[in-house]
Amino acid sequence: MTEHLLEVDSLSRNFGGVKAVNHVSFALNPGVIKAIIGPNGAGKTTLFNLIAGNLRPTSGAIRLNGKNVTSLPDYRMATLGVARTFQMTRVFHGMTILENVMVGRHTRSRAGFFSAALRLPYMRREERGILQAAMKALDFVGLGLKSEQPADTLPFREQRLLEFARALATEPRLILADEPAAGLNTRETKEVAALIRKIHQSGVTVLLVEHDMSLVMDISEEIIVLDFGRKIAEGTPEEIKRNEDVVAVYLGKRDIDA
Amino acid sequence: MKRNIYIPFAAVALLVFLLPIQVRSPYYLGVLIQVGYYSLICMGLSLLMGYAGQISLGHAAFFGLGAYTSAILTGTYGVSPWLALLAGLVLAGCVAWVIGTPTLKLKGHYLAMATLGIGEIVYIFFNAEVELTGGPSGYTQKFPYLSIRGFIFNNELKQYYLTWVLVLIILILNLHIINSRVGRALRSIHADEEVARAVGVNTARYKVMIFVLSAMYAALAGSLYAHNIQFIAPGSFDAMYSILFVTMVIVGGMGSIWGAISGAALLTLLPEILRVFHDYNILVYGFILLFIMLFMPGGIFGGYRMVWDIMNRMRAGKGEAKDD
Repeated sequence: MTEHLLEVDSLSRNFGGVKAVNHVSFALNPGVIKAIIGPNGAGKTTLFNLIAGNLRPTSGAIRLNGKNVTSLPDYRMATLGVARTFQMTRVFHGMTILENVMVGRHTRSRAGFFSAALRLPYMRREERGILQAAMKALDFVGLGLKSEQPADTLPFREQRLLEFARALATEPRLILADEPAAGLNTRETKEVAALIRKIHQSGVTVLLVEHDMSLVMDISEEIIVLDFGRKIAEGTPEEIKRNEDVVAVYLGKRDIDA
Repeated sequence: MKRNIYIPFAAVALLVFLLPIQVRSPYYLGVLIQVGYYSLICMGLSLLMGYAGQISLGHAAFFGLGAYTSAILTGTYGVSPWLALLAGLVLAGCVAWVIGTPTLKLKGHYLAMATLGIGEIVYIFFNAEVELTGGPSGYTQKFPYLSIRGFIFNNELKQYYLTWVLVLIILILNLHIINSRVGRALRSIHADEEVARAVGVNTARYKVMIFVLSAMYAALAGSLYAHNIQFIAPGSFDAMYSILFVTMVIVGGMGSIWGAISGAALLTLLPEILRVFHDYNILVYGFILLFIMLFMPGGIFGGYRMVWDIMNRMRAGKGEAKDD
């Protein structure tokens, strides 16, 4: 058996009587771009929050590189190499673009209160490393020239790029991108698609939730379809397009079948 | 943001060193020393309120813990003053850690409630443990002044320099913290806690640490205070003082070290200045506070920062136009 980067094993999460995620299993191989799609309320974001550690599952297990990470808190997941971007872009207000990305280096640096207060030589050295890595991430997404600007002055499109830079600065093995094309026009969506490909080529595995079908079909190698919290299909974009259940869900034939 | 932190620091340091040339009366030096104590407390509290978004209504208790630990250990048990000071810091830090660890994991203002409670407990302790603390009439046994290698800080001028050198040291340490990995983590918590966690910041732990740090600053101020005044009584550490400290931070501008010092200075000096109004001084004091809150919601230091931000935005706007 090949080593999976991420294994989701019969994962469930209930909100009262609602089964938001219902026994979902899938595996993610290193180096792929996989998309999770489904109608509104299918449980996509809940599944994301479970993987990222924002929510604890009701039952089931999550394994990262074979290690059980179920119910680990979100900041631990970041340390283990899982980074995420948010549906509504969320940059740190009151900080510059560069500082936003520098926070992304948090898990890759160690200076604490004491060494920071005294500006010990090792802390200064580390600080230079943080700066370099952050600039590299900014250059990667094409925001290098704006590094000193306050983050909240950026247009929406660039705030999204900034989110990716911040996620990349954590040196993730896996990026969870929650609707990276939400709120973007066609041209901007293409730009984000290109960035995701570039991230993928740099060796990072990408799991995304997305409504924009053109983006999903364009960049993903594998697709999972959720409906009412259940996984109803999994396969390549071609297979998903031909899958009758999926077509039924998207065209609303379910009521007739049931 | 390559703001140079050392230039404003040097300016403040110069002011601190030159002030005694103008201010010679021991009374007013005493007032300035008081500003120093409150600056220490408010710097920590400002970090807590501005970055962790939590309010402590018990900082007078930590101030008191520092003062009583120093007085009792040196007066009753003959421990060396500096060692006693250290013990006070550790005690206050431990108490803060015990309160902070459970409450700072919760969303909402549970820390405010818990600290209000601990403030009251400590205050009652100071009053009731007569054998140890001297009770309501205060700790009356003799205890020494602070001294370094035989140099005894036994008058206002010496105390002034001792206090303010320590304020300046804590100030520079704080400025370093803010402009570091830890400071960025704190600021990210202030901006968006969930996202901060998503990039790996253990937000609960940072909040506890900043609370512990702020308690230790208050205890430091307490120890200095006890050794300077040579007499302490519970009345100096009741809940009204905790509220005064919070007010100082808000008036100065939360989350700004400079704001904390400005707030502490303003609210300590204001009653002195307002003496000319005799019976009406409280009224004028109230009006000034009201005015600041109405027209400078970011505090006296927020006003300055607002201007700075607007200038920055204008600069950024120009940069944008050039790019297109």
